[in-house]
Amino acid sequence: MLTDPEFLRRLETLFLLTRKVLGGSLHADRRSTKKGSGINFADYAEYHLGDDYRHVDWNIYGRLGDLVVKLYELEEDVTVHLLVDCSPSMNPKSLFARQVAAALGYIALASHDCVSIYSVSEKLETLMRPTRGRSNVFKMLRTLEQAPLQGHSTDLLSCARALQQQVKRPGVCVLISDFLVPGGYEEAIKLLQWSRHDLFCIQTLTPSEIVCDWKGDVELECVESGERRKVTISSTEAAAYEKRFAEWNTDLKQFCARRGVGFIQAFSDLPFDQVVEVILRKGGLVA
Amino acid sequence: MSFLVPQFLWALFALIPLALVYLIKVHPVRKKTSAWFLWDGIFQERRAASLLQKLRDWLSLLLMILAFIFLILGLAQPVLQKDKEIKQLVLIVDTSLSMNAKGHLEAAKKAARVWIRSLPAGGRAAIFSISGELLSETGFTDNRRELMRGLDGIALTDMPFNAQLLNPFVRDKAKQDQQRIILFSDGCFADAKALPKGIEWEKVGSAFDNVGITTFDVRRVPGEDQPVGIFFRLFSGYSETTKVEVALSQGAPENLQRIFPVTLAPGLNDPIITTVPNGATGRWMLKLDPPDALARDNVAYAVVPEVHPIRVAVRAPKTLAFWQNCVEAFSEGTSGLQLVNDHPDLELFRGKVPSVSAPRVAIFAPQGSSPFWKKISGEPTEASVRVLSAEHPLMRYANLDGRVVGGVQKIVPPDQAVVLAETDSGIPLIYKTTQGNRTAYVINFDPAQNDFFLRPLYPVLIWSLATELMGLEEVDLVSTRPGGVLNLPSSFVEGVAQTTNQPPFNFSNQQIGPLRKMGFYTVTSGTNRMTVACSGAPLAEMQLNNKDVVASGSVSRKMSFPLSEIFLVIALLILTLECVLYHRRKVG
Repeated sequence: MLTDPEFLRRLETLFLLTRKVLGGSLHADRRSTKKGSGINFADYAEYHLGDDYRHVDWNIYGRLGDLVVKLYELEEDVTVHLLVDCSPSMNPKSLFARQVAAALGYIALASHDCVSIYSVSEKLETLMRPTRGRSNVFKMLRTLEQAPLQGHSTDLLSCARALQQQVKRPGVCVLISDFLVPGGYEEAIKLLQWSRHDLFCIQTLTPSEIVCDWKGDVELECVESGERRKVTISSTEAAAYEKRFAEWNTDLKQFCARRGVGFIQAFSDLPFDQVVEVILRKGGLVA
Repeated sequence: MSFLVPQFLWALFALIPLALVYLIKVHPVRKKTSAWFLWDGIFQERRAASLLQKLRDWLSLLLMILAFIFLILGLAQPVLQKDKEIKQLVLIVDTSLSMNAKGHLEAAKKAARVWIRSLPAGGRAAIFSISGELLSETGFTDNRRELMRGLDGIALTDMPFNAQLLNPFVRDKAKQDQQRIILFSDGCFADAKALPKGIEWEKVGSAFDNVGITTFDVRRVPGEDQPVGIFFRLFSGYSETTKVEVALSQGAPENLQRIFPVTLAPGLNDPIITTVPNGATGRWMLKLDPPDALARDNVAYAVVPEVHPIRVAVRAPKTLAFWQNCVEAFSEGTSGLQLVNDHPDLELFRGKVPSVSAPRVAIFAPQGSSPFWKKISGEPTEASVRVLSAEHPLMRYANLDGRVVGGVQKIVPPDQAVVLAETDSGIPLIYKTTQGNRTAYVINFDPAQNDFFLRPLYPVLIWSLATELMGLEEVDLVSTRPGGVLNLPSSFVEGVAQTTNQPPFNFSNQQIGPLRKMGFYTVTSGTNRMTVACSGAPLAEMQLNNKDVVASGSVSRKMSFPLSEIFLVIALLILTLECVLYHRRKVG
């Protein structure tokens, strides 16, 4: 359960760990390339009518006779979009995915960032609209906890399109999925990148998915479509499956690397906080 | 092809539920996968194998049905009949001494089982065992189980093989065309070629080198220290000289008397004769070391009977010395005479006979009146003896025919008297009569005349009438060879005989036998008890090297070919194949 005290205690521990890892305060500390009214000097600009003359650098004017204004880095909050795969294929690892999402959301809320949560399956569904503040932690956790597994397939591309339409302002986009999508994941990732989101992909898998220990007569059933087929799995078929699965994951990893997308592969038998710690240490997602 | 147990074919109806069960049998385990598209790709590439996959269930069912059919056919015991005319089989298993050798009987039974299994449908068979006697183990039957039971019940004997017992089987020529007579034997019997024609002999058993005791006897011999004479003879089947040890024991095996180290030449060796002083009566045993393939001929048994002398009292005061010499001449031996005064078994009289006497009496030169004769008259004269019954025990060794004796009187014997000798004029000279509880021999001449006392015939006559009156004249053997019959003393009319290696059995008619096993037999009849021995192996039975023995008319064909084993093997192979497929289905 995501709302039980034990889980909350672990989240708090994780948050403290986050501060230790990243150092310093996290209060409104997400720097932006935009220039604005922050306290850190960024650049000079020619004075134009209407500029706040409190920012005029009178020393320059004294030395050079030109009116220039000081520009400061704009310190703005960011919206963390958590895209959680809620298709039936996530069934055995759904809790793990939600735990990771909850951890990241908790860190973001505690850092005064804005968090929004979306369910990804056949179509994109908004589970929690952009929410700010630590007081909304429970709301976020309940939302994640109650999110149902739905749909009969995973359509990442349509979900990416829907997100593009719904979210105009770029933010940090965390996609938590097994990425076992027959239609492919490439276009969806590209689309999210084109929307200027900082994209981070977390692939959640179970160890049993990597190794095939089914042997003999088996009736295979697709967890999403319910399609069935009676097959005999010998060591040849098992080896072919393991090979294809490994290739699929390798392609995903390489694709993300090529696109500059943060990627981590997490197995559901690992503690979620350990996974988040790895994410934090690798950087690029938080701070 | 026919079936010996066609009832099993009804089990083929079980194919219907089998097929139904198979068709609705367990479905494969359902496994959910999130990587369906990966599996789909794999099995798209293996579309060729999927056809076999679809047919495999039917193939499996087909294999199961085939296995079941072959199993049922195997249980129904089909046979391919080769010889349709011969419907009857006589299986004779040799159980003689040589078949006691390692593995011989087992080989014979195994060979006979093959014949029983190949018995054609409707065919009948009977089991016999043969050694010194022919025993029927089963009657003619088509019930294989009964035949197998009969075969299992066959027991070994120590008797030699008697080929003459097979003659009744081939006597009926008409039956010979309808039946086959198969003898299962190792061929270790005298004159194997003399088997009756029509007997097919299947040779069984391996050849062995064997050493054994062919003869063993222990007898009391004359001597002051009560010695016993030992006689034994050994046989060696080895082609070279062999060293053995022969242990002689008395009473019990551990009571060793002598050990003879013997170097045996191949074949029958010279007898070994020795004496043992102060030899006790009772059981004597000879044991050969080391053991070999045939253990039964390594031990031999003999009995030295108890000495029971016949107590003889002489009532002839004037000629007592002659009578004493006569009795003492037979004082030794099994049925010896012992001169006594009191409580005699036999009283010898010369002249008058008192009214009270021993139950057995012999009266020489009778005088006066007595129940043993009606009348005596006339003057004593000489006369020539004419023996009427030469084979009578009294006359057998004392041949008085033609002898001239003196003191002959005219005598009229009682009505029931049996006259054994008389004069030429018909005067009875020797007769036997019974009056009340007394039995008497009346000898109507005087041994004191014509020097009869001095003749060797005189003590022989005394001993003969003593043993005949005591009923001991025929009993002088206490041992016999296997298969032999022993005559027992008159006090052993019927009773029970016991030995160590076979159950007790009854005997009657004063006879015990035929004795099938070697060993000591304790014979009990009422309160009387005695021990007899059965021992001795024939040379032919000891010659276990049967390599060169060729079975005449050897069995070359079977009546039918049993298919049940083949069908069962096929069923097993099909089941194995199905198991492989099943294993593949279960573990890939």
